[in-house]
Amino acid sequence: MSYPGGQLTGSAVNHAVHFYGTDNELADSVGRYLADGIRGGDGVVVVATAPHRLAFEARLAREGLDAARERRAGRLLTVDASGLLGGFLAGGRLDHDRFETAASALIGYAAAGGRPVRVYAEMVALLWDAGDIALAIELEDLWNELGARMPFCLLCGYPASGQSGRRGADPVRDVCQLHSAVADQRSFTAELSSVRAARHYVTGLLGAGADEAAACDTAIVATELAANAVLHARSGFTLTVSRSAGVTRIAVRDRTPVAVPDASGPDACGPEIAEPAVTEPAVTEPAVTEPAAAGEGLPFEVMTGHGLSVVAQLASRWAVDPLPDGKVVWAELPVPGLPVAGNPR
Amino acid sequence: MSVSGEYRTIPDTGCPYEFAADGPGRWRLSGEVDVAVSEQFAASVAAAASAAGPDGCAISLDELRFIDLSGLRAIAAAATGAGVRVELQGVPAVFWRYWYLAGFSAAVTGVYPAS
Repeated sequence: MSYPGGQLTGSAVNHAVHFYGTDNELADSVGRYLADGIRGGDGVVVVATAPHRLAFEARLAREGLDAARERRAGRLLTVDASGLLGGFLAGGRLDHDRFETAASALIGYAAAGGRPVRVYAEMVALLWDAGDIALAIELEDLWNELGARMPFCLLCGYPASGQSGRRGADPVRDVCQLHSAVADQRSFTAELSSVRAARHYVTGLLGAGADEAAACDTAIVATELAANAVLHARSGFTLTVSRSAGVTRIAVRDRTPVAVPDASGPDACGPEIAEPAVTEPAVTEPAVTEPAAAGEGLPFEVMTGHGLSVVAQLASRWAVDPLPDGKVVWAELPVPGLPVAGNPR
Repeated sequence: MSVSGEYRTIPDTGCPYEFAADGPGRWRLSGEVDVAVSEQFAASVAAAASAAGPDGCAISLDELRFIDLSGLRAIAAAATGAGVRVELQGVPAVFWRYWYLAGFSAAVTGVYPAS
């Protein structure tokens, strides 16, 4: 999936923040983040509320992973967020020493045998929700300080509803700056009008001060990925925008698995993606992203394909990641957008 | 604390773009054109091209905020179908991006974009 965790380099800790819309979205994203870690041989730590821990475990079960068995094997450590927070929060102050003792013990346990460690934590979200913004930011700082001494990958979850009204306000900016990657996510219905809504959502995240060329490329990529989901996967979709140093990643998850070539009978949804995975910005077999309506007399290459081939040309990297119940098509854009030969900007 | 259900656009009965006459043989396209409206837009622009005289027609894109491949294809199809010259004025960056990357610049005749 498009999770920035584990892919960033250059800092002692990969520290990503994920602003989620619904609990289901959170469970999907974090579930995949945890499953990837477990399958990759990481030690995985979850510091979450009880309902969220249950939701993550259910998501792991869908991935074929038994949380209880992973716990017994020492590959998964689950901790109650309120309980852990209560151990170092007293009198409205964070006890830095106690935090370090508790957190380093968890990470040290997970790192048994020298394996990499992957953490999901939402203690900061509890503080944020309670209105303790300064404490939330202080706790983020403590994670970063710990990360400077112990290598681990950290994902923090914040409900978007808690920050949507404050987008642009200093606390949100502070939180984003404390992370090496920021992710926003929203789900859309399987309607043509969702393509425009998705485009507006993504360009809205860039803000008014965004580089015009980068905003243009971002709008194109969001439009084409969303159109691909609605027109070809014919499903609703979840769009995730992750920002890390120099890169904006736009990922669209739909609910139609990658079409298998030579499957029996014609595929009603059409093979919108010819190659199941593309990781280089090479020109690939283009996908048809619009119904071939009015266009008689036009050259074939103008009537067909183009949607994802345009994405491929704009993106520094892109790929299709198959999932058991759908797929994620994602593309990364450099920030600001790099010039493309032949484009008279 | 968290929102439930899927994000839905507010039911939008208004058309996100406007394609309006701006004098004899002159048209003005504003707003946003994408797959949701491209069929309707294709019909409008085809009618405009068909009604054009021997000098063709001109479309001002000064107020166009977004157009995708389906919109470009509609304009190209209108020019080709009517066999007339369609001059585009005030072409925005997003149009250029698609126009070159999708290969329209080499493949389409009859449409003349100008900044």
